[in-house]
Amino acid sequence: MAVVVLYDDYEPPSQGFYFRQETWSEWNGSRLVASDVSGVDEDTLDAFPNRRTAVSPPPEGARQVVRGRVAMLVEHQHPFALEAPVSFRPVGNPNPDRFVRAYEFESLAQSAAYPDLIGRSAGDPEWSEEVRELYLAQHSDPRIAELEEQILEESNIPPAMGEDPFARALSTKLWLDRELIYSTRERHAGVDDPTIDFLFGSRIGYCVHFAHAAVFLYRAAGVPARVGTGYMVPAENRRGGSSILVRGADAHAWPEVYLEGVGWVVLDIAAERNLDEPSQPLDEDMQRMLGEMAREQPADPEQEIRDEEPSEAFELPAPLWAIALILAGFVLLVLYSIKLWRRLAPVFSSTKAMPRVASRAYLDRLAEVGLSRGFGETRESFAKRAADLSPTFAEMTRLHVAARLSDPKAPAEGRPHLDRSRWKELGSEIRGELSGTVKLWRRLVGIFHPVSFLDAR
Amino acid sequence: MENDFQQSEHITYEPAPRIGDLQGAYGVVTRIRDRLRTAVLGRDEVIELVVIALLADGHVLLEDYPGSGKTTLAKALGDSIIDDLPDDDIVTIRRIQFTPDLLPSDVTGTTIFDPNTNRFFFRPGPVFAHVVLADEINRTSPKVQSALLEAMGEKQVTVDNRTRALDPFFFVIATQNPLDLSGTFPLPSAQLDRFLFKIRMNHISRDAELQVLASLKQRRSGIGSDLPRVTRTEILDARAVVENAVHLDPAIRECLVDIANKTRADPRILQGASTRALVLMIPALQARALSQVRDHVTAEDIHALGTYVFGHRLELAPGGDTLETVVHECMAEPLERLARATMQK
Repeated sequence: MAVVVLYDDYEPPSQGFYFRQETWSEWNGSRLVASDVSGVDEDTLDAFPNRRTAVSPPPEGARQVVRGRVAMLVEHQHPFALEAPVSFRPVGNPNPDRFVRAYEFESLAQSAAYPDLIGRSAGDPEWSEEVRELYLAQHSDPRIAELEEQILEESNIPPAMGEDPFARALSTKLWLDRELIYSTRERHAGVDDPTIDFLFGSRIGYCVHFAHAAVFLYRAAGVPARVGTGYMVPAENRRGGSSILVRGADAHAWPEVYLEGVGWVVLDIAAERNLDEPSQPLDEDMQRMLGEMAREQPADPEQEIRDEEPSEAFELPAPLWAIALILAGFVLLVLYSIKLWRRLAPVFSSTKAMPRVASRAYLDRLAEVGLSRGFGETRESFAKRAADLSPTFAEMTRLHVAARLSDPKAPAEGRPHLDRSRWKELGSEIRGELSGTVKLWRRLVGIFHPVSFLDAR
Repeated sequence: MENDFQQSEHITYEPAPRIGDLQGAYGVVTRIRDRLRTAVLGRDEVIELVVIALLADGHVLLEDYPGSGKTTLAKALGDSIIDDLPDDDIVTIRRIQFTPDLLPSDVTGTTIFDPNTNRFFFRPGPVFAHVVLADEINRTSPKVQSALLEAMGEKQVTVDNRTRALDPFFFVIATQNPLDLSGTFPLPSAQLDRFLFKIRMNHISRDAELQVLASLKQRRSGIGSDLPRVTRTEILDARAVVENAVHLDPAIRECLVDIANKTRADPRILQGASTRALVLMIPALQARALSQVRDHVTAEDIHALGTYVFGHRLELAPGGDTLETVVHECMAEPLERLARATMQK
């Protein structure tokens, strides 16, 4: 089971979404199987992509770009995509609890209506002879060719279109729609050739039988054909936001024909008679919910698909709060570094810068305990105000102001601010006074205040 | 300081050693301060300002109620000073009580005819003193006021077209009553500008007042008269020391100009501070620095003297904030800049 979310608007002309997973083209004597001949069926992927992976694209005519995301609810063997895929790329699992994996695809899906396909030649002129023969390989039983001849005779194709490949294939399909009876109970098991047993027996069977019969009849009509397998979901099952629930019961096999300039076109059989019970209706709520989940953090889908090399980081998108936390931590670190530097600077300061640096360090300490100079207040008045906490601070202020405003040419003995040890002495006295007058908790709060120094002026 | 104390007790005919450094000048400050504080109780702030004005060569205007100690203060100041030039005609202290009928010659002096010699001679008026107490200066006519103001501004008087110089010491303490204004001639702002400080005095504290009453008897018997005094020359020397030895950083001058510009730009002020205010303020700042035992002027000096210097020079627009508020607000920004300058490299 899987949820497919289409990013682009798309109405399939076949009234069904065909998600191709594998193709069978090679006749092995009893049935069609996947071919390993080079140049054959290179439009599917065997393994899940771990980077953007392109497959052999269809011709661009009569097609439109459809992009989508597949979130798988259970493990599948191969990736599938809306026919006909161009590339696959992995994406982060939007909800690991719910999904086992997710990937995105870009397809060139058929956009032309079936009648518009008339008038094109069959096959691709660029195919090698070997490939062409493989796609046109007939069944060994001559009755099939005879049946096809009979079908075409009975059909009412206008004579002008008598040789048109698609018109011939289409009339064959319409004949099969009428003649075949759908039932999953008739398995045609245990016989040598189920196709013959089905087509020339009861004509009751299911998709695999239909597909095989149709492919051989199309080939008999001269149209290259193969069986596509995967999932088919009726277009009406699509729900809000283009989410499509692909269930196991949707597994399907269908015939495809190749038209020049269009590529492989699904020409499925819709049997008019069905012996099976109608399938269980979809749980719409579940489909919608799963669709929402699969859609989580689609980021910019176009960007993602454009990325040639998705980075590992994209696989593990960091939550926003973690980034915010790291940023906040960084800012705090910077602030504390500033604080620490201002506090320790007197130790490293030159004698010339000492008055400024030491005063700043102790202004910081006073600001930490909530005492800072007001606007327009002189340093001396502030020191007087701070005398309750530290009487010695006034002396430090006096030296600090003297360092700036006293006569720089005065003899050194009259200028105690040039004495390094005096600053050291004053500092330790102020520290002692503060630890005596300010409660420990208040000092601790101040120390951990990251921006207290902004108040120190 | 011990030396300074000795110095002042010299007999006037033996000149005291000259004062040449800050320590000596500070000695002058402490001696005057101590004497004034003993004589006038509870007025330490006013005494401080008077001493600063004395050293800054400025005059003070006291706005005060009668009986609040103005005369005592002026008299104590006169008593603190030893006139070491007794031969000139200048005495240490004079008091002029201004009344509406006073004439300019009553202040400046006049020429008198001496019948014995048949000659006119000049008889100096009360301004020829070191300390002049001009009591109730707003009670006299503008003519007399301007005679005194010439003396204050130029340190000279002109009588009968002859200009006579006053002593360089010349120091005026003028007073006016802030309430009893009927029949007065308020000083125009141009004349107020000549006073360095206008000091608004409040009533002294309860404790100080009690002490005044308790020490009444000792006061009459001349308490504190034995405290050391200063000579006129010492004060003049101290003025020179203040001017030369107290450092004035260019940042301080910038701050002053900024404050003046602020007062001129403030919409609440009709007339801002004059350049003369700044010129007079600089020695005052230096004198205050000395009185705070500092060899340099700081923002604190500007902050402390700002209202006394600018207060009477500003003309406030009606209906605004009080003068103190306006002056402090004008000073805040330049002072802030000055405070931050100390943190710059």
